[in-house]
Amino acid sequence: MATSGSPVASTVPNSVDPVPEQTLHLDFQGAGLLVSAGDRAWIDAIAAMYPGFVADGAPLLDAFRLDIIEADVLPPDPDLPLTWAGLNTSGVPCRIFESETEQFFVAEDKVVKIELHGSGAATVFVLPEGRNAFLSSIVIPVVESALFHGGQYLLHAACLVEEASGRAVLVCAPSGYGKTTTAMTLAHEGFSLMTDDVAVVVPKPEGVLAWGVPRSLKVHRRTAELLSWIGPLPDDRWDENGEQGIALEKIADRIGVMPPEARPLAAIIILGSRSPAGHVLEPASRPEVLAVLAHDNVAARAAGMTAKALDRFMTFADMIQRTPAFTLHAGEDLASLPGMVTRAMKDGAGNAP
Amino acid sequence: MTTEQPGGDISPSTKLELAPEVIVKSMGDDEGGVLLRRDSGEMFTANDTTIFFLNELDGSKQVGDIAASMADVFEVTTAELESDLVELARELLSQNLVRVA
Repeated sequence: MATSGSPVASTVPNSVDPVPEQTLHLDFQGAGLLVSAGDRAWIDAIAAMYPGFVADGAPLLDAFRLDIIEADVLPPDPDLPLTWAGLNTSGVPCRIFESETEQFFVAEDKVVKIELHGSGAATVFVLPEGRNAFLSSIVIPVVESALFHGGQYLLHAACLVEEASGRAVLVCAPSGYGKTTTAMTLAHEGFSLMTDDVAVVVPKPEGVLAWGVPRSLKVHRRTAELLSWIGPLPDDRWDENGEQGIALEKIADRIGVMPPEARPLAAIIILGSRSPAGHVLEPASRPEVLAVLAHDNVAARAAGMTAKALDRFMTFADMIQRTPAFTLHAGEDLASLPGMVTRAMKDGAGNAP
Repeated sequence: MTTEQPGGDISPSTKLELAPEVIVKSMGDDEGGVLLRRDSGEMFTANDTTIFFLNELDGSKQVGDIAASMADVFEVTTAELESDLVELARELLSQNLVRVA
């Protein structure tokens, strides 16, 4: 389908024989995403990324809608401020045009996502050769929008549940600071892992809930050396970053793993530098916790923060005010770490309100 | 720190207001807070005294009047607090977090 002129007008099909629409319903712990596409392949690809969230039956009330349109030509860049351009975390060149009301997201000049903030819907135009760019660069932002629409917030953190109390703990740090090592250490004794990298927080009047989006663990060679109990890994091949991916089900015999389920949030742990001696788990300054989380999770583009970004900032601020937070400087004796974290959660020590 | 700031030097009679793009988020009693610049995403952590002072800035109160009202809360003399707040105001002004009303 040719697409030119206004993005909205270009969504009108020009075929006299409408293509049967394929749909997929996803249920992210109460936040719905309804995907529609002309080709079943798109549906299958997204379902394969989130197999645990595929829902049967009618979509959730007020689900976020994603329409995928295969195009021969992408909509032209809009008359909106260019607020960001560069490589995303997958190494794909992207650019974002954005106003307070609208976002126009271009990935590799092969895919365009158009979203009116607050509309509860997004439209994606994708060229025939844009499948990889779509899957690596567009799906996660769409899921984030669906969560946001459902009152939930993605957070770059590991999320575990203390088995004795059923309460959740978040382990927060930028990539490369030891989230996976810490999460696996805790999950080896007394905790169950939902995710080592992609958490979701759900603010409720009665308290904050947290859950994790499952994904394969990215285990670094150094982590395997530190945690000798891991033993031989299923795929003994390290990539160029010294990492290998391990599906959760393949390591569930060595660590506690649990499916995603929103649980009351009992503690936030910010990873600091390693301690040369024993572990140091100390109360954290709430403003500093907010600064760390916002720096890693709230986008500030060249044109400033959008209302959506400010909403995220304020939500994280409220979460930190309502939750005990700690800074962890892990020492050498990792086996003693789960007990220390359990005691801190039990005491509600630190800066608990 | 220079005292040659936009809007002139700060004195106890100066009236200040927050820069329009700045948001002050208190993190609770005795916890301090965060200042956020919406135009850049830049963040500054601040102690309780600074957060209290910033929340008093409405463009109509003089720094000296704010010092007098804060003296009881923070159990220091008005003169001592006034001096500290003038210094603080200069710092905030130099970071463009406040402006002279």
